[in-house]
Amino acid sequence: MAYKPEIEALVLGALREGPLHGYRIAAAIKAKSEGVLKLGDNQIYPILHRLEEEGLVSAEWQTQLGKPARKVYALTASGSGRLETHKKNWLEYVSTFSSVIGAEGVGNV
Amino acid sequence: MFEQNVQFEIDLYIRNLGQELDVQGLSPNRIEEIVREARCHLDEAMECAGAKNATDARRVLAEFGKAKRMAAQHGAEMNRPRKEKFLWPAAVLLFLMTFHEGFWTTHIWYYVTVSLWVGSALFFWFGFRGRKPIVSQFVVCMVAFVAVQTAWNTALTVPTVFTSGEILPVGIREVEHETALLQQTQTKLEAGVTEIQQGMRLFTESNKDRAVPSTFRYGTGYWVPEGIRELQLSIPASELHPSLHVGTWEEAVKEWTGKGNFAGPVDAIRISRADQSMIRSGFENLAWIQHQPITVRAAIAYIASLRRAGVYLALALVTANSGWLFWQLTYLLRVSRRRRGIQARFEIG
Repeated sequence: MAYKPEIEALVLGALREGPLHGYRIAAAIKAKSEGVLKLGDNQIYPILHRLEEEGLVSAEWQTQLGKPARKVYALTASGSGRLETHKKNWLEYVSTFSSVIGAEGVGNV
Repeated sequence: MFEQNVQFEIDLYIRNLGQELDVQGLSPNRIEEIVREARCHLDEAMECAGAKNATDARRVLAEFGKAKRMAAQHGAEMNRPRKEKFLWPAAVLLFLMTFHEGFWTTHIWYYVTVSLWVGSALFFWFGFRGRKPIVSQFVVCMVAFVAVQTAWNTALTVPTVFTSGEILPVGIREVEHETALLQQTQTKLEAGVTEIQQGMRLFTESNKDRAVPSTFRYGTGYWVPEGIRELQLSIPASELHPSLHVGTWEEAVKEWTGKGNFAGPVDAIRISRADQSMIRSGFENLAWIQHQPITVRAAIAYIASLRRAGVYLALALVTANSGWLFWQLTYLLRVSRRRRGIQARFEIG
């Protein structure tokens, strides 16, 4: 068993509470990870565009008063399915790894 | 509205990003969308960070990440779907080639045929399209191929092993026919040896005026020893190489006494004897193998399939990965050409 940490999972996870635009997605990842996960904000955009093409997220440009329009992304049904798969794989990975290194309690996430 | 120096840093970043995206070969529409989104992000980030000067702006930009890296990631994502689905059609090609010749005939693996050239070209194309090194899919194809061919040959053929180590599967229904054919060839080879020995006695300088049997004649000229050997194997005279007959008695004597340009009678006999020995071992093995349990036949079929599959696997691996290497090269050349060619044609904003 192997789990390859993916930004895709983080992006989908950030969107699970509702539609967000790019800046807010990056901010949500930072806030939730309390600064532990260090990734350039711009790394999320190539992933977002691919997810949009694959139909895992939907996107629309929203106009703002006195400011340029921004692109807001939302999780689709298939995106939620993919997120569940990521969760399952991650939990399996953590559980296995924890039992090997003797940190079972820590692995109960 | 930001301070002028903050705005300048944003504009500079956006211009670089546009150029790098262009270098990666993204479409203008996609570039415009990415740039628009990046600008939106940076505006908000600057606002939230309260950027007042160039130093603040650079700190925010550093947090956002380098333009070149972002563009490269977009380029990689653009190529990603093509990496997923490209080589499996190669399996179809492989099995088509095998079915084309039939599982029981393996000559395709020995001769450089049009099929091999076409196959190589297709593998090259798959490698080029694949945009990544390819190994595992070939292994899967080959395992499947070896398994199917081993099962097929075990069930429906009798492997004939020759002294040269060559294993040729003979269809079970064709064993009698194959045996008869080998016996005929054996007889013909023996007749050829006898005739060559007769020729050795005939073609001497002192025999010039003696009548020469028609077997040794070709029009007004004479066959050389290798010509006689090949004629005895029922190869039509019209298909033999012109150098296998000579025009004059003197030339014929030269060839028949081993002083000519081609294999002399001793060599021709040696070749025939070697062929006979190979066929004899084929006979013996054919007789032996027919009484062996299926496991032994399967093992021989497996060895034969594995050897051929190995040769083909190597060929396919080389050609497919050459295609990938070629793509890498052209990609790097394209990027470098674009980088050189791009002037500041991207308009800020």
